[in-house]
Amino acid sequence: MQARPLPKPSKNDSPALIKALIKENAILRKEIRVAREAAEITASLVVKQFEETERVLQKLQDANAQRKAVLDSATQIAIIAADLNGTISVFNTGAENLLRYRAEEVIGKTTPEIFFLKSELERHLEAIKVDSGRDVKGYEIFLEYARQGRKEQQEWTYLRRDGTRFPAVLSISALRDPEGVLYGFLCIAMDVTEKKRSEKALAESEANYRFLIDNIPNVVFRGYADGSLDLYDDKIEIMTGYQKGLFDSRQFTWFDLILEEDRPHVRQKFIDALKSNKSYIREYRIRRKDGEIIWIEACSKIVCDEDGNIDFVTGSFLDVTERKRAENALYESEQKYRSLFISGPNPIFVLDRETMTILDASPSAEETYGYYKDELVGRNFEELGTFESEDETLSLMESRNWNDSCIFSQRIKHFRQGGEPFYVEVKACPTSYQGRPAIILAASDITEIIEKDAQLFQASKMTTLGEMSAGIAHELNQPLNAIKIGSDFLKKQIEQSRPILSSELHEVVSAVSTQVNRASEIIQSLREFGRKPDFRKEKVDVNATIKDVMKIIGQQLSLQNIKVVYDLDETSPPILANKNRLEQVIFNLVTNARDAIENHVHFPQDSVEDIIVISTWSEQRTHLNMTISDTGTGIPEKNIPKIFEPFYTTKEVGKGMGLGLSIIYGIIRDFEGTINVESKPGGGTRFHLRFPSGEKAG
Amino acid sequence: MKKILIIDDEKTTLQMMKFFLGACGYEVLTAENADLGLEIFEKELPPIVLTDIKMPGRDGFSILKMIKSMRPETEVMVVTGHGDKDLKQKALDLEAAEFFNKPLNTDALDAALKKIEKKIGI
Repeated sequence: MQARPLPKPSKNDSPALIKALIKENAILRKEIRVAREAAEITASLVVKQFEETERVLQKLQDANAQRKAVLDSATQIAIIAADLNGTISVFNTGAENLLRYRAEEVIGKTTPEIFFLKSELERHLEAIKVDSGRDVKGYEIFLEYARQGRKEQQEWTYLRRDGTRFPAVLSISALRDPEGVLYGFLCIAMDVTEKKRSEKALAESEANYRFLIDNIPNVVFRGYADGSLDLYDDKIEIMTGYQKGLFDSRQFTWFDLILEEDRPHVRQKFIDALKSNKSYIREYRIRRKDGEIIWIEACSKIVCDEDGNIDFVTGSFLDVTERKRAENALYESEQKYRSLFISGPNPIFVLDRETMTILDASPSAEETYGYYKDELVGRNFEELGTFESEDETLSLMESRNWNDSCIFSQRIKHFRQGGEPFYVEVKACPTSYQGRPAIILAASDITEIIEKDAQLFQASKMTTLGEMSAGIAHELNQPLNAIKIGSDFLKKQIEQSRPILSSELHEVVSAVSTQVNRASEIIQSLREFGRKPDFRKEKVDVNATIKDVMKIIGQQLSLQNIKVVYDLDETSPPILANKNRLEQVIFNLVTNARDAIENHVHFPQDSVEDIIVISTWSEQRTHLNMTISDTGTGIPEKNIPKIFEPFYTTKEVGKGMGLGLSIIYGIIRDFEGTINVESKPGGGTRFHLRFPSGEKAG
Repeated sequence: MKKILIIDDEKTTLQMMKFFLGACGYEVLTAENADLGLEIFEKELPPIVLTDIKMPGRDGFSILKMIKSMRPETEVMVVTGHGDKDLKQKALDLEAAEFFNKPLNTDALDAALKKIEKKIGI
C-alpha cells in the first residue's frame, strides 16, 4: 500500500493570514481615497484574492475531513505518522485496535520505537549500516527508510501494549511539504497473522498432499482420450520399469501396456462407466518392461467439460499382483477344502459354537445319517446323538474352552434317520463360519471297526480256548469218569444179577448228580467266556469276576502245582466295565503268569514255591486296584516297553498269537483304567491294574 | 483176596472205582495223592496199582517209576484225562501195564485185569 504525502496541516495559520489580508485591505481603502479609480480595480483584485483564499481554506478543510475519514475507516490497518523527532502525530483507529494504545496516549508523547522488538530494530539498523554506511539509532531507522524512498513492504513484528506480538507488513513513506522538504514519516502496517496462518496451512496441506502422492503405493495419474498420461511422480518407473519421461513425451500410452486379451473388458468397463456414474474400478494385467506380467487395479473417474465431452480421466493405479496371488491361493485352498468337505468319506458338520445348531453338513453326512441337508441344517446336533461318550457324565462341550484345542471323543452312539444306532468317533475343532464362532466336527463311522474289534477279541479268545482245550477236556473228563465208573458198576451188578445195596445205589446216584452239576458248571463258564461280547458297560464286581475266571483255570493251576493266593478286598467298589471283557483280561494275565512259571526252570528240591498272588484293594473308594503277581521267569527290561504291542510274543511259534496283552491294554483303556508292569528277570512279574470306581455311575 | 491200589485226587472217582472193582472181586485200597499212595503200597504191597497221572504234588509217572523200582513185578496201570499219545508212550516206556483215558472204558479195564490176573496167577 502506497501512502500519498498529505498537505501540511496549516489550519492554525489561516486566521493570521486573514488578519493580514484585512490589514492590507484597510491600507488599500486609504489609497482608494487617493486614487479611486485605481482603487476600484485593486479592490476587485483583493476580493478575488480573498475569495480564492476562502476557497483554498474550504478545500483544505475538506481534505482534512477526508483524511480523517480515511485514517479512521482503516480499522485493521495501523497508520502512524511521526515528525523528524520521531514524535507521533497521527495514530489512527486501526493502530488503536491493533496495538491496544489509545491515540491520546501516544500522540505527541512517544516515538514508534515502542511498537517494535528491540532485537528486530537492531538487526535493521545493522543492515542499514552495512548497506549505506549510515549510523542511525532507534526510530531514525524509519526516517532513513523514508529518506531512501524504499517502496518495498517489510515484515515486522509488532509489540502490543500487553506485550503480545503479531506479524505485520509495513510500508514506510516519507512526509514532505510542497517544496519537497522531509518533515516526517508515515508507517502503514497490516496485521498478517491470519494470512500467515492460512499460508502455513496451505503449505502444510500442500506438503501433506505431496507426501501422500509420494508415499501411497498408488500411481496417481491424469489420462486423456488418446491414452496418454500425466503423472505426478516417478513411481510409474518402479511399477512398469519404463522411464516416466516416455509417458510425459507421449512416446507410448498406458493402453499399450495392457495385455491384448484384457483390453476388451477394459474398454467395456469404460463405456459402461461413461453411461452411468463415470467412476469405475478395473483390474487387468500389464506387461512390464522386463516382460513380467503384473495385475493392476485402476480406480478412475471420468471428468467432463460443461458440454458433456470427456475432458480427462483422473485416478490411480495399484499393483495388486500379490493380492491377486493371495486371492487365487485362497480360492484354491477354499476349493480344496470345499472338495474335501464334499467328497470326503466322513460326515462333516459345521456347528454353531454356542447353540450346537447345524450350520452346514457334508454330502457324506447326508448319506450316513440318512437326512437331506435341508433337514440337518438348523437342527440341533445333539438330536443326532449325544456329543458325549456313553460313559462320560460330563458333557464335553460344556467342560471345554475352545481356545484352539480340538477335542476327540471315542465311540459315541448316534442315530440314523429311523433311529438305527451306530457308533462314531468324533473330532471337533473350533473355527469360524460366516463370522460366527463355530465348530467343525468330523464324525467317522466306526461301527465296522468296533465289529472288527469284537471279531479280533473273539478270535483271540478262541485262540486261548484252543490252547486251553486239553485242560478243559481234562476238567470235563473228571466228572464224566466218575459218572461212567459209577454207572458201569450198577450195570455190572444188574447184568450179573447181583444185589445192589441201597447205600451203594444212593452214593452212586448222588455222585452222578453232583458230577453232572460240576460238568455243566464248567460248560457254563466256557459259554460265558466264549460269548460274543457287547460293549455295554455296567457295574462289575472285580472280585466275583476273578473267582469266575479261576473256576475255569484254577483246577489246572493246582494240577501244575501252582499255588494261587487270593488277597481280595471284599469291600472294594465295583468298576464300570464289561464283565466278559474283564474276564478276558484276568484270564490272559493269569495264563501268562502260569506260562511264566512253567518256563521258570528250577529243581523240585529247591523247594521254591510256584505262586500266583491275586490282590484287590480299594483306594479311597475312588479307585480299585488289582495286582496279579507270579514267581515266573520275569521280563527282561528291554522288552517291557514292547509287551503291550500287538503281535509281540516270547512264546514259541504256534503257541500264541501275541494279541493277548495288546488286547488287554485296549480293554483296560476302554474302562479308563491303567495297567503297569514291574518285572525282574528271574524275579517274577507283577501287573498292576487301576480302575476308577464305578460306584457313583448311574 | 486180590488187592488193588487206586491213586486219584478225585474223591468221587475213588469211591466209584471202589464200588466197581469191589464188584470185580477186589479188595480196593484208595489214596488221594501220591505220597499217601506210596505209603499204602509199601504197607500192603498190592500186586496191581491203578494211578491217575495229573495230580497236585507228585504225579502218576513218578509213582510208576518208584513202584517199578521198589517192586518191578507190580503191575501199574495209568489213567489220564489228557488223552495224549505222548503220555501213553511215556507210560509204556516206564513199563506201565496199561494206559487208559478218562472217562474209563470199564470193559477194557475188565479185560486188562483178567490178562494181568492170568499173568501173575491170581
